[in-house]
Amino acid sequence: MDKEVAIVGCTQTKYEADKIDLTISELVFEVVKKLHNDLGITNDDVGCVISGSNDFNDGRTIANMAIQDAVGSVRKSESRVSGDGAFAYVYGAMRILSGEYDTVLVVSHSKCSEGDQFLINNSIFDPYYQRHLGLDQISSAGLMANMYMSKYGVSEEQAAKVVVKNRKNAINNPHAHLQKEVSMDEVLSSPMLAYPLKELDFPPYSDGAVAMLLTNKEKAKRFTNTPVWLKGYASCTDAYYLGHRTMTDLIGLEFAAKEAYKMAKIKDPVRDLDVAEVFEAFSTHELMIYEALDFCDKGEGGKFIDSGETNINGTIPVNPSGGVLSSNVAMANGLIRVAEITSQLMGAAEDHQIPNAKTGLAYGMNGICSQGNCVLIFGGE
Amino acid sequence: MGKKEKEFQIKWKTDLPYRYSIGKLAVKYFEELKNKKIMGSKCPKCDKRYMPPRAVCANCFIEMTVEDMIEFSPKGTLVGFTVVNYPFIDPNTGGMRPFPYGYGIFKLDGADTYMMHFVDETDHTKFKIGQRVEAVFKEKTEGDIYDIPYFRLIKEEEE
Repeated sequence: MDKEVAIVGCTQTKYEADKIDLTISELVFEVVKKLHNDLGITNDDVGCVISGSNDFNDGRTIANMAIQDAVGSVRKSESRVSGDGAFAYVYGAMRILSGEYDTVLVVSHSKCSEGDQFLINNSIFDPYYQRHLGLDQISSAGLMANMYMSKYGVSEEQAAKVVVKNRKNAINNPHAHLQKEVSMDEVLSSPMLAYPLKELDFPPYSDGAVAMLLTNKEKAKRFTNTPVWLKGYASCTDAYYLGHRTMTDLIGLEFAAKEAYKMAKIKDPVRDLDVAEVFEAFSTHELMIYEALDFCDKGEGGKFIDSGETNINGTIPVNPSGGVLSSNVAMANGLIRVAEITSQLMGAAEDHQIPNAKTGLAYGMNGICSQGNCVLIFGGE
Repeated sequence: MGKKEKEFQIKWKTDLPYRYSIGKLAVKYFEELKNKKIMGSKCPKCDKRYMPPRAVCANCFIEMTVEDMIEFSPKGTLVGFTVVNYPFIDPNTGGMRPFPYGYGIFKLDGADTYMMHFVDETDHTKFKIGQRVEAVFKEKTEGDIYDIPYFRLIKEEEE
């Protein structure tokens, strides 16, 4: 796909543990108002609004109704994705491709601080065979990490390197929640949460919001000289039951990546992509993502982090923003990846800018251990 | 961030009760669990054996009924494990679930998919992938998920 859907501006809040002084609506208004100001537009310039959120997280049904004032969607074309924000981007892009709307506002938000994240995550599991048995995303991640590391001989040190890399990158991202470097020793000696994963192998929970404006080929240059174009997209869901999946490999992501690469004409991802922002829910998850995205061979994720190629100065920097291990805004994480790739391709990522980034990948995810996968490839001007 | 401001709270606490239909296969599963049998379903087309039982084979897009249910062995082989070491609220009781506890993912003999359950071991060095496990049933079963409170690790000399 070539120059059909453009992102012309993105805004993010600072991500924090507990934005107790802001309602969800006020949080969203902050990014939408800033987007208007940055682009010099008013709400009348927005044709359609798509948001991404989760009713369980917001603690109310049809949670998008609580933000309609803040996104300016009263008596306007509006819809919403209940799931990761990357899918909200896809919905927004489709509204542009329909030809019916010149501009679409895409927004995603979450205040993890307002709910009990264990109970919310436990409710992902079916209510008769699994939910009663104490599963959540942390214990599931422990099982997945144990299976992956045992099969391929990946070490706890290699897992810890992901955390060290992402937490170091976050220092240069002013939006990031955790902006404190951690050492290998600190990661390895942090308390064990679900063997073999320790406290620092997991992200924090964060509050925040992200917004962006999409437009078409005709209008893009009115807003910016550096629009960012959608080049490829694919999604794929793996089996709902963890026990019905291949837990040592992210098969759903592999499939989505292959399809997205085909659409974007990516032949050799490490060479053809300049930067990637991925939803890594725990340390070894990022190593598995390298393999599924074909940055390295199966089972080589540990060696790939050892090689330093995914560092901010490597051949394929992964999560220069600090990733989810630094800011975990449940449901907004995928749209934050899209916003970060947009900043990179606009050359606007400031202190965490990858020089001359022209093509980037954003990976958003739903559910436990990469069940729902959304791969997006973007190109700059 | 507003730390010195007065905190104002509006409290609201509610139950949101549901009455889920669990389907005929799950009814059969829990009935047979009471008889200390573990049932899964077998696809009539590709023979894939699912644990827990499913009503549709994801490979063939074909229906599986109670007639397609088969019994699996209470023994299986461990493919992964974790030891959960953090406190959280137990949705069954509303209280905190005691920790640490062992958790295993394993394939019951006769099944093609994995299942997960508690394992009565909290020292991760005592687990080994490929190790045999066995369901431990309560003495007085009730047709409830906790009729199997946990699986136990089978010691090599027992085999």
